[in-house]
Amino acid sequence: MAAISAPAQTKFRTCPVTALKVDLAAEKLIKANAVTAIVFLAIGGLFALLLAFTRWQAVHLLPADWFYRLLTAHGLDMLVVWIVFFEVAGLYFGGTVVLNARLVFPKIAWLAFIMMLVGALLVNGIVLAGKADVMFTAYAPLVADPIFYLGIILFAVGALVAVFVFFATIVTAKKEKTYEGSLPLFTYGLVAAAIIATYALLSGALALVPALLTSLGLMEVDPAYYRNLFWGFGHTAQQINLAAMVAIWYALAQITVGAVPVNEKLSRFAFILYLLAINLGSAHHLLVDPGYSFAWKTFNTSYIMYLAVLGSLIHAFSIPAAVEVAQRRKGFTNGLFGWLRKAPWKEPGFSALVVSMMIFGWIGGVTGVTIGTEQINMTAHNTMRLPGHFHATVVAGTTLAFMGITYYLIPLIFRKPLKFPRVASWQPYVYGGGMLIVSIFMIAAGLMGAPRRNWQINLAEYPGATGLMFAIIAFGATIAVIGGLMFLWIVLASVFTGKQEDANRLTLVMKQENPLVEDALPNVGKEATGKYAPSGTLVIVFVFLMFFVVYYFSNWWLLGRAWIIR
Amino acid sequence: MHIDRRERNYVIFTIILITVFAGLVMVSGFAYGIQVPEPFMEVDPNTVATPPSPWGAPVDERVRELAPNKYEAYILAQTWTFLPNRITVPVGSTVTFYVTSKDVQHGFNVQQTNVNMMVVPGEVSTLTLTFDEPGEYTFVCNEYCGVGHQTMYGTVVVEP
Repeated sequence: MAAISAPAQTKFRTCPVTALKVDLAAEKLIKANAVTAIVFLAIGGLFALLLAFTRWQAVHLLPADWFYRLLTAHGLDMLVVWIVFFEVAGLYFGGTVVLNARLVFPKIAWLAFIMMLVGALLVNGIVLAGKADVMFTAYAPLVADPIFYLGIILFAVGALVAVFVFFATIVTAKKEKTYEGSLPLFTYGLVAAAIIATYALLSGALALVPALLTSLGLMEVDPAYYRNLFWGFGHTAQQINLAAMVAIWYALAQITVGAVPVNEKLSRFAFILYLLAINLGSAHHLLVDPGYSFAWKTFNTSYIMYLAVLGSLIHAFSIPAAVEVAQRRKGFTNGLFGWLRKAPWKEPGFSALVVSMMIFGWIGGVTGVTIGTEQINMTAHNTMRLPGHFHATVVAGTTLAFMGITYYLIPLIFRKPLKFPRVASWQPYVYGGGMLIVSIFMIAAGLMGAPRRNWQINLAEYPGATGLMFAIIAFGATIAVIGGLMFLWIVLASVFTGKQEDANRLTLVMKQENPLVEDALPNVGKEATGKYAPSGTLVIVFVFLMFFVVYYFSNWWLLGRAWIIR
Repeated sequence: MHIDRRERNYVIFTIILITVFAGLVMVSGFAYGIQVPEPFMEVDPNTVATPPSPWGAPVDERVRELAPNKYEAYILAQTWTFLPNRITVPVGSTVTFYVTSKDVQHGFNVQQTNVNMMVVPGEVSTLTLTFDEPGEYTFVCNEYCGVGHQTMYGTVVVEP
């Protein structure tokens, strides 16, 4: 471990905003990973548009084989490549810049980057060559070309290496005392994400290595065994996104309104719940499998998964409450919602936070718990309700939060002023609005019975409005792609044009009506009382819980209509 | 750990809520018998389509009448069809589906009912359904099984 004890070789610059040291090697890695992530986001977004206009059967753009091919590529590029590259950039940022620390093993971090990039290119290449029309899940014994599995494994191992560089970095930072006290909440959330990533990627290796050997003709993988291990990777990977997204929510709330959690320890505890509960919760993908007992399914999904749900519900209070208390301390104490009316709605980081939280919670979270309920799952399994759910969580939730934080990383890391701030101000609404339409109408099509991953359903067999639902999905997807292009345009214009200059304060994108005031920071640990109490948040979360209950029970009612008890 | 009074009340309320949700799964499972597909039997996918396996019988003999209005249907899923893919029963019949695959993973979903199960090679998926209304019920493969996936469906004809 010679490298750990040789910090002298590391080159730093001092960030004029935070007065913290920025490791130049880390900075380069953050840039490379973030830019690669956004390139794959653009590719996946293009595929999304083509797919949406294929499922709209009046248009039926692509032939069947290309539909399944691009659906495979879209799933992998979006669910894995874009998000994991961006998360690796986030890990290096949270491990070095936030902690005032240096990145250990930068060469190994570059090796990780190259492995991930080569893996991603191999997967895209082999899928587009038509040798792996197997979907993201690649359920054995459906086999793809060995290169497909090799690519995913290479990517996963690369990501695992990056995670270990991150762990080594924060351990070194602790040893070298670059920061005081406990880890900042943002980095703490990223540590949770990184731990989840470790077991997600190991589970992925356990599923995909036998699948690779099967593809090479060396063994025959048991399909039921594959399903279990695949979801240990496939779903757990989404929880990496969840933890990273929540960490970014806290960061956005702090950057845009100066919000600090009222009870930070509770927020940290919620991250621990994710760590403990979420891997077993991935059993909800197997609820209608013939191979697992009722008791096994119930234990994993209804007891263990709900602990993770509790974690999310804690954040659902903690973040808006932090925003409310901060706003009230700035003097916006009128009534229950005066603080909300006076919130910086034009600031893209704030609107991205609100839109991301709302769609993630109200649509993604509520439908996720509902269709993850053992019996209700039988009315939902493999219908369009599933993509409806996860487009609300991973796209409108995670992707939008990542876009939101990007606007603040460009001045900090790329040291370029953000171009087109007014476009940025609209972008979260356009993207979020488009994805809201996509999610809701996917769920509606699913409620009518339309299966997911299907090139052509016989519309005569479904309720008359099913075709219309797919038309509206294509419309929503178009709006979301426009929102995606706005993001791409802002990022590319800012990063690749203009000259480098240091921001001398943490720049907000829009000129604020309500500038930050010192008083905005609550006394952490003390009860926020009187006019500073988060009463409005309490009303919002109870309305949310009522909505949750109504949606949940109406699904039992729907099951009751389908099920005739004798 | 100090917790704000509002936040504490909220967290207590959410814990009660998710406990109720978890309890409902148990109540409906054990008190009302609304359970999901469970381990039933294992088969060898390489020989499942040959006699004496019930999925190896001639296609028109795979739906058997056990008693008046009581049927069992042995359906073989394969790329990209169900055999049989047309089943005719009188109204009021109770049909137990036994579905297995001889190749890749498939799905079996009778539209607008709770019969929705994964079909995994080597295992038999089973659920029972009563058809109280005459008409045609479409069943579809709802797990992607290759580029011909969309052509894989069938019909239960319920005669008045």
